[in-house]
Amino acid sequence: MCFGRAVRRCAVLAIMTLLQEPVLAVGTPAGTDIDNTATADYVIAGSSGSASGTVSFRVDEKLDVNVSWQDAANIGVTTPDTDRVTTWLLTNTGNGNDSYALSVNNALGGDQFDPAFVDIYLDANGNGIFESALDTLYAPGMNDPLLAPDAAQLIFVRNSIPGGLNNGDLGNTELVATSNTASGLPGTSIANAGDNGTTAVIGTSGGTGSDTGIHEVSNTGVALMKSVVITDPSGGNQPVTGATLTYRIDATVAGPGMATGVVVTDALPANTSYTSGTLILNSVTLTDPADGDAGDVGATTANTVTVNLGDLTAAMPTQTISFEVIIN
Amino acid sequence: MKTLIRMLAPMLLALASSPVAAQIEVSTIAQIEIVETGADGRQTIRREAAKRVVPGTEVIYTITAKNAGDESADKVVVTNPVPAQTRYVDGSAAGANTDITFSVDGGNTWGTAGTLTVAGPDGESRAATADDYTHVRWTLKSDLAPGRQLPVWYRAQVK
Repeated sequence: MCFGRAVRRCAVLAIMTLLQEPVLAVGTPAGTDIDNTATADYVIAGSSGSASGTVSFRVDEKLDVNVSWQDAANIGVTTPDTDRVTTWLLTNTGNGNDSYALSVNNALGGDQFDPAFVDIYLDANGNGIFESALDTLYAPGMNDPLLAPDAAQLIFVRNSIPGGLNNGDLGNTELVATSNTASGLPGTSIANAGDNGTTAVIGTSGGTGSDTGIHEVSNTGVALMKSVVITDPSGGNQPVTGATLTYRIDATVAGPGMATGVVVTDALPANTSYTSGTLILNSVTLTDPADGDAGDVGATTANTVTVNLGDLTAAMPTQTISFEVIIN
Repeated sequence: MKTLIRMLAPMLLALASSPVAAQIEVSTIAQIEIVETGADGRQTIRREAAKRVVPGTEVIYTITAKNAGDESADKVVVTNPVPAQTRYVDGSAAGANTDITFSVDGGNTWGTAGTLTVAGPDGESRAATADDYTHVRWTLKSDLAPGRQLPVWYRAQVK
């Protein structure tokens, strides 16, 4: 999802993702012998003959790795915020088995804040959804992901977000994966370090892959929609003295994250009288005094309906408040 | 009589080992190019035996047919299957005084570059590309005299 000023950035990210997508298939496995036999056919003095020559070489291990940020858009965060998850794909683009050390770098330029690194998880079931109970907490050097050629591992990075930021502020986070076999200048070779005793040759990636993901402070918005139904004493819908006005307020949340401590207040219209016992939240009647339930009429603020909706997210159903007044 | 036997012996040998004994010798070598940049910034390209070959590396195959006998050879044809783990590099086959043809069907049929077709995934015939070549063939246009060599080349990129 893209929100507000993030929309343009989303479009750019989508294009970048397309460009990065065709990670070259790795090809011939390290240790493969490639034989080549050429044949010459000929005729000498009326008799045909044939001769051949063979050459063979062994394919060495190319060390290459790719890291790609997977989230389709900036991760919407609040300020402060905790344990916000970014998703990454680590792919062995070399032609041999290799394992990778993972690290996170948040001290990056081009943003307004530095997220605080929390931890890295390896997606244990490959579903791309962070599940702290199922996924594997990464411990450097202990469970470095070991990948066959072309194999990939989904990775989650959790960062916390400092307080006091402004809406729209960006915080970059970088996941770095480095080959445990070798990294450095492309073309550098290390004898016997590859699969099957082959030479390991550092590929164009330098044996290191990284990508940058973006957090964006995105205040979650609460939308309130108010409507009224008029019922007059003669059964019509004219706003005459004695007519009943049934107000309805629908509260919905848009945007990522959570709207915390949402309180809806609505002053009673002038020249009306509240009808006792008509305050309803999501089909449940609330008592009028300030007490254990979520709402009151005139207690918190005089002549005002107050309903405490608590913490809301976009995933929750619309919160519906209604009450009735009578025109004096 | 002895003389006759001495005269017959080579003929019998020749018949027994028909086709004729290896008067033509074939050597195949595989090399890679190393580009080196000197202190003056000039690049030099050096060839060395194929090692440190990884996917993507271009290998130069040089096949040399040498007439080691004392009679001229005609109808000399050098054939090389492109190794399955490599792809032929378009336009790379060369050899003086030869007609160069390619096969896309394992050596059953031959044609010059640009004339071959293969069946696409939809069954429709499409023009073959260098990736489709399974064999390269050099047909010498003239005889190969005793002591002469016929070197031919092509490049293949490791998949």
